[in-house]
Amino acid sequence: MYQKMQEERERYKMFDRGGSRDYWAYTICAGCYGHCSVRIRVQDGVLTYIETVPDSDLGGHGGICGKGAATILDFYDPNRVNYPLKRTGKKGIGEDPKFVRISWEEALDEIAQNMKEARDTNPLKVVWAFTPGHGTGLKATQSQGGFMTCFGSPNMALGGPGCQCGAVAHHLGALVHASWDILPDYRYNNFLLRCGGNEGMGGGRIAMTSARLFADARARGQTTWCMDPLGYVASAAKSKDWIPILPGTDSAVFLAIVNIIIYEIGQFDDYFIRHKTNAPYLIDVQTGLFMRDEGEYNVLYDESDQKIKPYNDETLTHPALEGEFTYNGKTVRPCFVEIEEHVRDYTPEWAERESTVPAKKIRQIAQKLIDEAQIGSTINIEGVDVPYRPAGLCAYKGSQGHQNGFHQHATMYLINSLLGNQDVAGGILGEGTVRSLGHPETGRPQFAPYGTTDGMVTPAVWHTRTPWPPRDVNMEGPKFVSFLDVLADATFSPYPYCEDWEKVWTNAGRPYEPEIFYGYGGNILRNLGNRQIAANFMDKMRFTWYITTTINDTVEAYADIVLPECHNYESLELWSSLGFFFSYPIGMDDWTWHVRMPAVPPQYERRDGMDIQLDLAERIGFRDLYNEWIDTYFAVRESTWEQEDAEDIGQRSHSKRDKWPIVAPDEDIPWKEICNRGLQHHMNRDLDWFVENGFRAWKKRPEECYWRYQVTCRVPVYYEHHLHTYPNLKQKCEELDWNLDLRHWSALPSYYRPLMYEPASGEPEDFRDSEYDLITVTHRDSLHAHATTSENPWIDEMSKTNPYSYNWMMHHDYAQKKGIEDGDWIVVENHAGDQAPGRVKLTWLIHYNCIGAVGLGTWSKFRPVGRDKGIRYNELLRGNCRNFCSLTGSFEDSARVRAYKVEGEKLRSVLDKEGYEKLKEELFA
Amino acid sequence: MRWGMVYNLERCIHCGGCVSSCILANFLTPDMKWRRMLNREIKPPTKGGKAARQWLVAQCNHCEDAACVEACPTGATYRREDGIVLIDSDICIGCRACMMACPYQQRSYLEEITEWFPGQGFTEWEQMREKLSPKVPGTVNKCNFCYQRIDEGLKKGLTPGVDREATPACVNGCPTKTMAFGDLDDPDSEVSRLIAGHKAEPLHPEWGTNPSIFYIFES
Repeated sequence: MYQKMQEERERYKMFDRGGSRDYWAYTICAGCYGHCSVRIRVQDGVLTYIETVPDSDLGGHGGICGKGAATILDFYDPNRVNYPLKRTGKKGIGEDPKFVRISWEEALDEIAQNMKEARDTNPLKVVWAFTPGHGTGLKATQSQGGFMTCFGSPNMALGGPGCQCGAVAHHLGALVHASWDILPDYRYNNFLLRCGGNEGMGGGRIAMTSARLFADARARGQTTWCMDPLGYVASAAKSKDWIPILPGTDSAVFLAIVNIIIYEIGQFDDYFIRHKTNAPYLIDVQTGLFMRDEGEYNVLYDESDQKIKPYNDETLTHPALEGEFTYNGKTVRPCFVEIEEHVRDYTPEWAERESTVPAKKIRQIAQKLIDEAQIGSTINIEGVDVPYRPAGLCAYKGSQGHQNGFHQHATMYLINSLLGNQDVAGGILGEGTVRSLGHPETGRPQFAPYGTTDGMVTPAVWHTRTPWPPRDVNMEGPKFVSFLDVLADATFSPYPYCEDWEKVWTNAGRPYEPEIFYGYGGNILRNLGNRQIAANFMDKMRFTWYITTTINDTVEAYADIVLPECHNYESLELWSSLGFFFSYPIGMDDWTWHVRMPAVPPQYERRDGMDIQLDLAERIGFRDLYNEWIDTYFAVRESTWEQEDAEDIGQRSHSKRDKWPIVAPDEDIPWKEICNRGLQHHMNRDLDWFVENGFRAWKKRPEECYWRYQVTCRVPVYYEHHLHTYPNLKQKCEELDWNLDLRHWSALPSYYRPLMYEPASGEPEDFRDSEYDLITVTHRDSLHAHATTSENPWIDEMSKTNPYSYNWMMHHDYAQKKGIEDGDWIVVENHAGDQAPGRVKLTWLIHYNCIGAVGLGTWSKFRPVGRDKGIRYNELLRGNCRNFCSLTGSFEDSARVRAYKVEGEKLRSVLDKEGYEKLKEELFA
Repeated sequence: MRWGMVYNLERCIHCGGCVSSCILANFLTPDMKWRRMLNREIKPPTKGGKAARQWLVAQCNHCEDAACVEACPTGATYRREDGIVLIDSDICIGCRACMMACPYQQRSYLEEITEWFPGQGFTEWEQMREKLSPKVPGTVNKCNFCYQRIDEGLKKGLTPGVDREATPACVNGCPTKTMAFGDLDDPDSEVSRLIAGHKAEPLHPEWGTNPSIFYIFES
């Protein structure tokens, strides 16, 4: 046995609990990145039962979702990878990889040799991607980035896992809430307009925490209205009112709501707008740019003494929202005036034409929000008076997954700002933790958001790019295959898996040729868009290696070496989540510190992903740098961790640091000891204690949960920084002949109809009059959110009995017009001729011009249960410069399509063309 | 004493937690359908009217006047004094008369014990079935209210429906606390209070079987 693995086996032996035949093991659920705490019953060394930890707020108080409970079967999936594998067959979709078992030494030697060669020439030649899924270590998201930046290549090529995920939600969550995302304050919220997203219904972070709190809210009379193209999704089904809307037009409705609030109702949270947003900042009416004093501080007009002064002036009392003034010889006025004038034409009647949501309904929503927000009120929570705004809007994937994604959510955030409901009781809270005063015993973790440039709020804990102040365009770029250094504000990007990547890369002078791909669990071919477009990039890789638990579609098609990873239930992490910013109990739920710990020691030749990466860092020669990253990240010692910082990590002086609480650069300690030290550092308990006792919990204080008025900071309602970035980006796009939609780089939250609605050549103006008169919509079924789950037989069983899981969903009336009947086989086809066949289920609960499906459809022969099940939705999505939000990188998740019935030989030929081998056998046996 | 259950469907998110928890706790095989997730759509009454999706999870209703008990020719299916309807696998001959009789179609026939990953052998979890919850091929099966947990819990002085250890796995497994479990004969039990306070109803009361499972339908 490989020496290092032998040593690991000895170290992890403690997790068999001294040979106990029956025990409960505390860990974190492996079902999705909702990160519920769980305890697993182990009998005779076998995992036999699972439930969330009954007395912890991180989860369902004992209850667990169907997917979470089914993870026990994932653990015992006979198709898991148990030994290092090497490809001896051809590469490509549909090819037989002919994997053969090899030793760990051989596998690591080959990987290290290839990686070293690249590092010695140009480390950026190595690109990398991850996705948590099917038991793959969720730690991938935190550890792979550190590993690769220390290696020298921050050349992340995430594709789907990023740009189809919360590209907008995370971007604006950070800008406005200093958080990863937003969720309603379920305990105190009375009215919610849910605009896409299945949080509280099994989807989203803190999945069962959310579900539990939302159920309690409904039981006490909380009301939700759901504005969504799909009425059959759980969040719509559980709402008191489902409001059908055309995909990507939410921002039209939101702007109309702002219009109504300002011009018809005339009431909003005046204090919040004046003191907690940049609305009073003065702008030059000619340029739209902020005016700044000699100290570079934004200025505003104080009505109390009628003086123009910086926003941080101690005498500031009543910033003006109206008026026109002269400053430094220029005509200036508060940017709020711009917003007021901007929304004047966004009337409800106009919004109805764009969105199909009736103007009357839009007025009802606006009035309901204002009525329920109780503007000006406070509530006493555990002895602390905090503002009380029990109404708001919340959205996630649905409304943001469009080419106009930024403005979809920026307009929604504008309404929440007008309601003054951000991070106050009953309103909309930053999800993850934003402010922590630490455990009473240790004072750790301790962090708080703060106001920085322009007075804007900045997250205290963040593992991606610091969102404020925004970066500028790298005029020397693109440096990365994702083009993220050029896309100044974005954290994610659909590149390089786009059909125009090759052209742009060539126009950039082909800075280098990417040649090695390191995948940690991700499934690039299936998770982003059309698989052939992704395959075109993967074809360039001369060497691809993966750390994974199962052989997914991408591993099957491209991996040269496969390293078997421990399932989450046999692996170790310092904490429950990816960091404090992610998946922690919100609102007044208790703080918890859970640890992902092995329920049983690792089996076969599987290894913990961190042990593998530490091993490789040593072999390749950057263990000291990786230690530095680990210490920085896990000790939460720096408030920010930017990719740019990480690039420079090698130049940092170790001597500048006096303490290394987790691991010093020159130490050679294993992952288990790193976790042990981290637990002692933060929680004053060692790993043995956590194995025995499970977790620590402590009371949250209202000042931590409702921090908005505890911190001196403002949030943007006017995105002036876009105006600074725009000229450079425009120039760069012209250089690269890259036809991005740059209209979106406006300072004002606006409406831009998604480009998919534009008529193709020869088509009528209104898409509804064309042959391609349907818009595809996908949603996160609670059984399938966030992970590859159709391979799990129990989830498959439940999905087969749920008409909304594996079928195309079409409106009855639309189907009748097209002569399509319930149960027919149909082909859904985009303008490019990409096809996604499937059986159709007719429903009343979908917008007439929409067709819906859960994105599924694995084809790997190594996933025999899930193979060919469900709709290969992503086949209809083509990555290119017109199909994503140039501000945030959010991918356009909808496509304009036509649908027609197929049967007999025609169906067989479609299945043949699209490679549905198993399905074809079943249908034409 | 009559054990029963109340589903507050306002709380249910149809996540399948109760289904998977049931499979786990009882080591069910692919053919043993003890809990069924049901969906239906309400067609809008008028053009422009509201449609709706409704769901619930159905299980054995442990009926007071159980048709299955009447139909069983061998006495294998019987009703305990506490209202739980059980099947004695040693007596069941697999004639399936009870399946025909059950109006709720909540019984399954186990022809043989098959794998959850077809053709790939029994997983280690499935291999524990023989030791912890053995099944008898050629017999009928259904939800048994996790009677072993109830019986063992009562012996320890625990209260089913209150103490997790004495409560059916599906109830414990629900993350939204949709189900309550307890004694229908006790007017102070949570189930009795829920039924009285929310006009809870069994499925198809008109069939006259007097089920022990009640549902609070969404308003």
